[in-house]
Amino acid sequence: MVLRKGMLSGLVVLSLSSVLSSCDQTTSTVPETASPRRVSASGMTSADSVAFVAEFPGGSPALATVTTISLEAGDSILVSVQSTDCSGNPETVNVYGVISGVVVSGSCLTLPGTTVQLGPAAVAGTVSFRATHQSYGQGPSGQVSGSFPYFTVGMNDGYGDTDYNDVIISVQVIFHCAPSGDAILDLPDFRSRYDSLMKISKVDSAVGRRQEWGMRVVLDPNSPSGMSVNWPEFQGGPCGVELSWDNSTIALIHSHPYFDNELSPCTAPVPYISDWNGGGSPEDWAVPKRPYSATPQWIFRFDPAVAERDRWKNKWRYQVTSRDCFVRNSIFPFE
Amino acid sequence: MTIVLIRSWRIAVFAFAVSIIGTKAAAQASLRCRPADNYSANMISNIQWYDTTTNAQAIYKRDSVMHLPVVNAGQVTLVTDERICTKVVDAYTALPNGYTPANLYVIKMGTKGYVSHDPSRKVGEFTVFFVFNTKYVRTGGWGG
Repeated sequence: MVLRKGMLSGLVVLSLSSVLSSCDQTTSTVPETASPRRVSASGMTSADSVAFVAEFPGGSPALATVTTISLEAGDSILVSVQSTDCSGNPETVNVYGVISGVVVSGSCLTLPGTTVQLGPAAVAGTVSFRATHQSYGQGPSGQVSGSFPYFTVGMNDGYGDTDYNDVIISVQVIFHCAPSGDAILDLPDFRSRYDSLMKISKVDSAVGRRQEWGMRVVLDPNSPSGMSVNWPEFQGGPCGVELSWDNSTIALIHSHPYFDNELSPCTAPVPYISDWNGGGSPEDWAVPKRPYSATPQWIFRFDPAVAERDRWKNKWRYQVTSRDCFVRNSIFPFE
Repeated sequence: MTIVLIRSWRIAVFAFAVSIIGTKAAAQASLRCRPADNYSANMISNIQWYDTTTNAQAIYKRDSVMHLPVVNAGQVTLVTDERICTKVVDAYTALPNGYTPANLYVIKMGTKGYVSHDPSRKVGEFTVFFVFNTKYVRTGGWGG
């Protein structure tokens, strides 16, 4: 990151701290509908999928065989009937597993468009879906495609065909991230912005194609939180981005688009270690507007009050989970 | 006449001062070891933590990615011996795509080698750290 001088006034610092402390106190569990990266139907990561395809090069990975969706405790599902090709009256769809019960039931022709929310799951586990014709009976577990949190399930009832289109439903997993405790990271729209920041930084592309990007969190009286995320604002290069700020700026977040242990063009011939120097360059630590750096795996906040000799034990480090939740990670015994 | 003498005296003092400063500057310019400061203190503490942590993720990084030698925390010390720093500078020069740092931080890792860092050499906001064995052969390193 490259610094650009900005303006700073005592008045702004005062209002900033009041907004942040207010937010810290009122942070609540927020439904999360952003699409986390690299997790597919059965909880596979993209690396898992690559391994799967490598092992079974002729087949389409997972689509023909996955019949369950993984849930964590507290997850709910939003089910919507997309289409039907059945004759049941009633035609019934049931869900089994950590959420169970009747999803929909009625004349086959009337089911499309029906939406129902079920859950939350009391414990972690899986769910599967089956369709039942009032005469032909229940079919096998439906086939699941898609990736977290959006799935499609095709089902056959007991009629005996094998096209898995008697009832087709979409299933969205509605999950909750526990608050991280950080006022910025817990903003309702921050997770989706983080996801977008990683995507525009091309973290899933070859290292040579990646770029740092930056975004600001600014005062916004029209937002319930009093803040909003401006994105995207700053486009950088593979090893740095120039940031700027003004009086409305509350925080600055920029990407370090590299995974831990990866040979990056910025560190070659040696691998990148995200948490060195507390996760940021000396320039990162010098930004006066609540600076953060974000990698695909971690978010670090830099407190300018921390002495240079103590930066290595930066305690504001948050691990990014596979669901794009942020969990504060305390690896230092003296915290 | 008096005025001329005073001027001569001043010129002599000035010339002497310039020669002293010049000698000092020349001596400092030739120093290869960067002196202890907050930056080096932060480096040493960070290395000591990696060498003593019980965190599995950090241990993996240390041993399999950074190839940082494991020594007692007390053996992680800043090198002030110019002969060692000069050898490390030479080792930088000998690396593939190497260059010759003006000076650098060299951290002694007990009897197992050295960690070195040239903070003036940056790629964007990133800097690198090299690990050398006692024969000044690079055996590891990392960037951040």
